[in-house]
Amino acid sequence: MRTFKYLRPATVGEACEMKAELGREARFLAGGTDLMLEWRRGAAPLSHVIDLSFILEMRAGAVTPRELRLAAAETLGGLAAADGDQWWARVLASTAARMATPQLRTLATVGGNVCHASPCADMAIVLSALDAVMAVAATRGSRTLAAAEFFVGVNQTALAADEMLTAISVPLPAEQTAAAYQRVTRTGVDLAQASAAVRLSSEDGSTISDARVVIGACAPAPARSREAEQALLGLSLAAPDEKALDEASRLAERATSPISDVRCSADYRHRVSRVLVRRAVLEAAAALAQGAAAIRRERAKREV
Amino acid sequence: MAHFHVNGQRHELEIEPHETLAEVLRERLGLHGVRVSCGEGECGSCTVLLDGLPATSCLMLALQAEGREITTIEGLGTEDDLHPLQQAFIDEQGFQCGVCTPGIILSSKALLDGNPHPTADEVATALSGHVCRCGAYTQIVRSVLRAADEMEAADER
Amino acid sequence: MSAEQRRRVVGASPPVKDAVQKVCGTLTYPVDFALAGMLHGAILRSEHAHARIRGIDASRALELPGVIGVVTHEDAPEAEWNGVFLNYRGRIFDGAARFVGDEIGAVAATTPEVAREALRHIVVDYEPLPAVFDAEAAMSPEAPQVHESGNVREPLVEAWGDLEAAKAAAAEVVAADVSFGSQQMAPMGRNAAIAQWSGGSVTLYTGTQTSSEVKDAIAEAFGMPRSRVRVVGLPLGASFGEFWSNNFMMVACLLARKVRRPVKIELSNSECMAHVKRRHEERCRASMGATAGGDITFVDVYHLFDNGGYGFKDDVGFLVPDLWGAHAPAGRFECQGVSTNLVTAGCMRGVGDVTMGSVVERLADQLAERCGLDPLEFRIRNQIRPGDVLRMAWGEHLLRRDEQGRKRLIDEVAAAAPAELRERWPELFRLSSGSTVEMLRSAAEEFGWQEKFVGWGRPYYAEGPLRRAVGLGTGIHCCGEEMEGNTDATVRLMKDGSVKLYCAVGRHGTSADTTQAMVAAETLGIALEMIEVEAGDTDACPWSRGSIASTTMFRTGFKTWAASLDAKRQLLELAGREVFDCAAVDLDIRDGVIYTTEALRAADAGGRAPAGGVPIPDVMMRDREDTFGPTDSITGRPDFPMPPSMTFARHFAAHFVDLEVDVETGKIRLLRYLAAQDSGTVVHPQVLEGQVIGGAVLGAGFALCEQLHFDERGRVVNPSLSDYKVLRSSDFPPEAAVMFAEDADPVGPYGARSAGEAPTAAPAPAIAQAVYNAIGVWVDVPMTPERVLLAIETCGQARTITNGSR
Repeated sequence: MRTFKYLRPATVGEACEMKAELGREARFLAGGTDLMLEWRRGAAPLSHVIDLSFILEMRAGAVTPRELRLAAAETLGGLAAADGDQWWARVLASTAARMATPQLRTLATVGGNVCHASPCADMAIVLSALDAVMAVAATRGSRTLAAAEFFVGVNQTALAADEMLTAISVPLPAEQTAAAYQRVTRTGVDLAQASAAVRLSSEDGSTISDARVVIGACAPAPARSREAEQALLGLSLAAPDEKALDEASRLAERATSPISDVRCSADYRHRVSRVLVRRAVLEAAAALAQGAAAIRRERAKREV
Repeated sequence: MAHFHVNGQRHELEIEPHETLAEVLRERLGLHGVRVSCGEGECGSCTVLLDGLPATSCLMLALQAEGREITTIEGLGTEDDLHPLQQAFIDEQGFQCGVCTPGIILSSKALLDGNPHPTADEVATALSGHVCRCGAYTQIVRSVLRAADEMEAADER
Repeated sequence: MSAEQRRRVVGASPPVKDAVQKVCGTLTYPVDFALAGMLHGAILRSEHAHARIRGIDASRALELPGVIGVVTHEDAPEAEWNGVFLNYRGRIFDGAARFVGDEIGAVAATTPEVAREALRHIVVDYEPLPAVFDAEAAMSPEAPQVHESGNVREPLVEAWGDLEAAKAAAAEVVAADVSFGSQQMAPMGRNAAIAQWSGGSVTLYTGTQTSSEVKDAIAEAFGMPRSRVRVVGLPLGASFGEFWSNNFMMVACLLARKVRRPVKIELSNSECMAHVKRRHEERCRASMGATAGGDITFVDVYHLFDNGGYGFKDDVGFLVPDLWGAHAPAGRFECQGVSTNLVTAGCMRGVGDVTMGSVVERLADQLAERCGLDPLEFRIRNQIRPGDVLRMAWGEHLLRRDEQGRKRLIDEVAAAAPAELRERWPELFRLSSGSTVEMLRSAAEEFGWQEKFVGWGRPYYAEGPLRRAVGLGTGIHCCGEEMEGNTDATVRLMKDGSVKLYCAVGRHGTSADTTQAMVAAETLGIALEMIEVEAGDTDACPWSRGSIASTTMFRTGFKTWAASLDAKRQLLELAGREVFDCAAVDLDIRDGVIYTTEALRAADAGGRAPAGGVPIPDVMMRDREDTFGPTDSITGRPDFPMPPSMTFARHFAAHFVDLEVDVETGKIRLLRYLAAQDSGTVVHPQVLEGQVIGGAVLGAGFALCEQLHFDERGRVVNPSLSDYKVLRSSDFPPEAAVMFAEDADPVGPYGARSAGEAPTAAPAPAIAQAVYNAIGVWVDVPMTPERVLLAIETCGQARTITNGSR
């Protein structure tokens, strides 16, 4: 009868020791929603399951003025239910709320989504656009990895065999910032056929001073386009130039290499990813414009 | 030896690590109201409440649920003592074949615990993790809205 | 008071019989069912789409601890068995595999895990054969032959009038060529078959819509008398045609016989989705013509469908010619079934009225646009009304008779019936009741159609990439049919006045037990709580046609009513003789108490309670003059036949949808939905609403997102809900509404007709028309975002104005 051993470390240190000792076929379990499916299909040989969900520090995040630190085992349900008003809380909550189902979100974790590294993993894509840095631990030492280095290919991360993800660090820019995530699915509950995550910042409150553009589900890993980001600089928040938007979308799509699969064709991904980039830019720009207008009104009141 | 809190009762069971929570609840504790239909976390018929939140019991290892409060439909109400949600589903006929019904009622309980006055759209979104292949969605939504009204009225009394 | 107003049960929505069990999770479905001492079976399935099995070596499997026995084609009886409507024919195992996943053997073990593990140790020596996956390719004589009897079934043709003349006379002609992938039933709750032999008899517990027919199939397969076969139909999840008589049920019986222990075979979800049954892949080539004024002159359809590995259907099942051809001078519908090496295909809810129906609806809409009529007007002008001739009225048993022969038959049938019924019975071969006309008008008003329909191919709202438009579609289906067997019911009245009703109906969520009990309660004049129903056990229920072809309310309901009448007659004769000293016709029953009709008339007139009543138990308990003892029970059976329903009864649906198309992503969002239904008298409004909305959701899924995909080896690529997409609560308007038009039928129980399938046929044409109105393009189903985008680009950019009709 197929089975495996179950281990329940109390700390990150214990978990790392177990992993170092037991090797490749000992796998970390947080929500288990991906791992258990793989194991049942015979796709994941499993000698041990190392359950991270009882490690308190893996559940507890923190926020400072310049950094949001997400605990790797924070559930998607917890993120979706968070009602913070900050730009990063809103984009993370709205992204989580669109993933999987409410029941799966009670179990599934942001770290699990990121480490499973599916090409359409929503958190991986959004966190890439937010310049996330992954905190990684092993018995032999800890390190950090930028998102772009972390996501290597289809279901492939840069984690070494003995390493585990402990936290995800999201820098919070000093300037006004907003982010948006757009995706297309066949029905409401579905993996994304294509998606786009955009983060925009504005120093002067009326134009884009910094941009991140990442397309998801159209390449083995989240596909960032620096050319698209360049093309967005200087655009007006309230009325971004249509031609520049089209150019940015076109450039972003060039960074992708979509395939055809059971969900849709590569051709559809080509077309719709451009649409999603444009919409995500407009959504983030509008949020920034609103925020900037609110700040100006506040300032005006105080100066009277 | 693993310890479970199920429907307000403590259980000590000798189980294998690979056993899912659904298997333990069904096979060891005879709680057949926990259904396993798609077996891969898509359909929601295995939904149980975990500390009050809906969770996919067919994918979860039973051992992950140690120390957590598990509620199945059997813990919500019985044939002699129906929960207002169950009564509302009877009154509005929020079911057809009944396979998805226990899971949907549990998710509805979690919804109303957090949002006692949902709109029809909010109910539909909250229940999007359930497939009702019979297509009873409109009557399901009506059942939840009715339960919300009746539970509020009962509170006021 | 009218007859309808005097009804005490029919027309209300009491809690259904198993409501408490369903909300408490205490109902036992097949996967929950267990027998003491039972073993667990797992089915060995072919890896190849087409192969000869040269040998099966199970020796290593048999050595595994816990493995008790194995069956292969070497153990299987010689006889073929036949499923309902030619949906399956074959031997249990015959040493050949005809689709990927075809059953070729089975293992019994002490646990399901050991049984599944044992499969991996069985070595199969296959001789792979060339396979054919496409119906058109399979028609060629050079194609691989799936069965010795050949791939191609005799075409079915229904034709009338002079087609060439009608084509010539048409001012406008439109044509379409539409292909359909397979929809999959995707049943919830899976299924299991538990077989137990005792001496030479077998009992099979399983979920099925057709328990009597499963019994026949087992008897046929094993060459045993039917009196030694018992099938117990258990409550089942949504089935839609998947679980009728299936080979895995036969395999369970064979395995149990071999190991001499009860055996349970439980199907996994992917087995249910990929290895049992599906809707056919179909291709419809059709043309339709009309006069300039919008009168249809002809409909010409050639419809090809695949039967998969073991289906032998020659008729996809369609009543579309009745809906659309009633006033057309000519028509020709040809339908042909072809075998392929894909999983068996067969009847799924709505059959050809869903697929062929959607093509004919599109052609009608295109003609309407050409003729300058709106979709409402065109349908009202052309669709069938009561009294109109039916094009699909034949039955095999009638085929050989001439006109006089057919008329004589109905006269004989009518002569056996009570006089007051005989007078109401319809003329054969004409529609007895119901239509789309009235409900199109009232539903259109309820929906606000006039405000929102702004012309063909024109959205009522266009902003950025979003287009909103409305659409309507209609559907038809039969109310059961009399070929292959009749329906039946037995009513047993007990000494204490309680009643048991025995009628074999499906237990897959239609609440048929409750609605049949309501018919019996109304007829007998007793409370619904006094009646219980046995619906699944073939040892208790008389042989009855399963819940298929929208049979249950109309045909089984008729027999329930007739059986109740018989029981009532016997009771009133007894009461008249023993208690009241009058004739049975001078007595009636109300609320379980027998009164004279005189007393009831006086009481109703004076608005007070009737006097002089004797409760049923008192009559039953009274010592009789003939036996000197009480009456222990009264058994009622129908004592007159039902006229053949295919020759006059239909049910109708008209659906209205308001939707939005995003022309940049192709995404369709349903905003509002109204489903109107004419099934005659509504017996239980809540139950019927559930059937109508349920059919709408299924039909909408067919329209928007459901399709089984096969790879180049004939394997199902998406046998799971992650990639076989179905609609959820967030995909369908949560406040969708249902309206009933109740054109009472002269034959149906209390005027009720059947209901289940027309509401599955109407959504696709309604949604397709709304999409056309939104973007000016007709999109084939499933209208996934990609296919919508492709259609827009193929036909030029999304137009907001077409040919300015209106």
